[in-house]
Amino acid sequence: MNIDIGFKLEKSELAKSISPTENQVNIALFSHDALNQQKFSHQLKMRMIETEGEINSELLEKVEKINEEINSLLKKYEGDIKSSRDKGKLDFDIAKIFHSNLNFSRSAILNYRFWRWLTLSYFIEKVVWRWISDPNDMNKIRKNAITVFQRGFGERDRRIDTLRYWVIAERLWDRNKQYYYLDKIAESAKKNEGPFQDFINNLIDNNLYSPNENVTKVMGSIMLTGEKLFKTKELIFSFKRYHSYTNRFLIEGNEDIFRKEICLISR
Amino acid sequence: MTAQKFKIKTIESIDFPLVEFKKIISFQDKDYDIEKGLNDQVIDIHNIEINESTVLPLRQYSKSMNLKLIPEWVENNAIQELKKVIFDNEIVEETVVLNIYLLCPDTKKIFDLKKISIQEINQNKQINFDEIKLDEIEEKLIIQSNFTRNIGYSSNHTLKADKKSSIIATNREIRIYTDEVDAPGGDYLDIGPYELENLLFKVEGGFNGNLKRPKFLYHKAFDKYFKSGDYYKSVQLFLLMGLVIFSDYNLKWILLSEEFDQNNSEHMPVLEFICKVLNIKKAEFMEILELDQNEKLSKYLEITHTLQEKIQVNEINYKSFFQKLIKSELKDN
Repeated sequence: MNIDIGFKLEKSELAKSISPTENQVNIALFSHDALNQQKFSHQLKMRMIETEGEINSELLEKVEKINEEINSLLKKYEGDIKSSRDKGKLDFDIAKIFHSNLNFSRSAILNYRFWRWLTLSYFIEKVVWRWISDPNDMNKIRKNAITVFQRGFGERDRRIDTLRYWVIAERLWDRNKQYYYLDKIAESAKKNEGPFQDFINNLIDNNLYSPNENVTKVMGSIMLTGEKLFKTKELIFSFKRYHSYTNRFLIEGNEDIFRKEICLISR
Repeated sequence: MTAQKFKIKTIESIDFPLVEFKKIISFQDKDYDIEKGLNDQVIDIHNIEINESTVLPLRQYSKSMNLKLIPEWVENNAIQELKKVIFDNEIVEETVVLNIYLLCPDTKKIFDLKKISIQEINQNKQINFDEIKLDEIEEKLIIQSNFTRNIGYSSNHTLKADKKSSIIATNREIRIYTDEVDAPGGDYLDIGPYELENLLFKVEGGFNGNLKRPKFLYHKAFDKYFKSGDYYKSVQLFLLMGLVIFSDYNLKWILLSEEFDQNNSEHMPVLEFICKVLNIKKAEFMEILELDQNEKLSKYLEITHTLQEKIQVNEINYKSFFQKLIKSELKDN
């Protein structure tokens, strides 16, 4: 699948053209127009924001499938989603939908241009759904527009919404057990209140890399699906502990070491 | 009363490399192998020289590669050194293991970890990493290896590592460049290799020469070290100092030569670089370009000192870089 696609404009130029902080006119783009993908895409065209690269039918089919799968997921849990906190509980499920459909190699992580284009061209409505609690609140219109811009355009590249989802699943995917760990955490996230978003922040930002993503899977399982659900502070300190143990070689550490020495569970 | 300095000692470990590797890189269904010796720490394979007349970019040549590593002790008494950092009643071969793994820092991919027993070192044993997919690597693949405890030990000895997976020695890392690395000057500055015979570097052009855009040339024999500059402190230091001279040449060229063209896409990045260092807006700098030649000359004399100072506190802080360098040298000695 060709992912050498993106907007013709460089990131900084694109930001200048569409950022709500650069121009008041763009507030409407990321608040009102972003509620409807077609409208939003039309507005991009009006601003001469053009796409570069060959969009093949396979990618378009996948995009459609992802949107359909997310819609049925949201329908399934419609009654349970009351706040933006609840929406976050579905992050792991949505991550699986993106990852299982977009079978990219690891270097796709670095192709920010593609993810930015993908998010703004096909998933802007999902960005609004995920990050905005009341899109019609006129008092928050500027704030909301900035949030949608930050998550859709991604001033910080790793925050681009579709990339964020893909990375969550990539960091929890297992060569043999496939989505076993992701499913377990997704299940737990739906049932419990816990530091799931803090865990995601660590997956996205920190250097937790290890062979077959051992560290993220083991730590995630212990802290979020084990007999004891960790509190935010406990989770944060466990990650801090992992990073500070520089004289230990833990990238392939077994569950026992992580339980006793990193997550401090004595049993 | 003078203050006493105490050296706080942490867990005992060996701070010099014990093992080096012979390396053999091969490609699926291809007859061409690359063999490198124990001391090759930087390997550039972004272009594959199949024969004298054919050079192919790696990514065109193959989609994956195989890597064979053959570990050899650097010192004859390496096992004795390992004995010093484990407990007296322990046997090195049973306690210590060699870990080897490959990683790509950009894609954050770590390929499989291989654990090698001590007896397998110096036995011409090949450690195979097969079918490393190139699309999981961006720019470079790093081979890292260390010695760790494979078992725990219950002891009151506070200075010896007793926990399983404690690192007791780290070897030198090896870098395999799979993609062309940007020249040291990036998009801004014209820096590159050249045959300079007995010179290490030379600045060409500028205002005092032929009025052409300045070029910073270094001896081509050091090209691979310059292109992997983040790996060599000596290169970093050289480039930092060279940048002071070179930036001044560029400033002179922009202000005083007639060649500088605001509409030239290759010229403007140089101006942007100077503005970034001086921390002034491009538009502000462009106003200076509108002055007459004498005024521009006095502006140059005014700015050159500021440039020399500001460059030291720009992206890299010269003072703290130097402090860290000295500190690491003191540690090595």
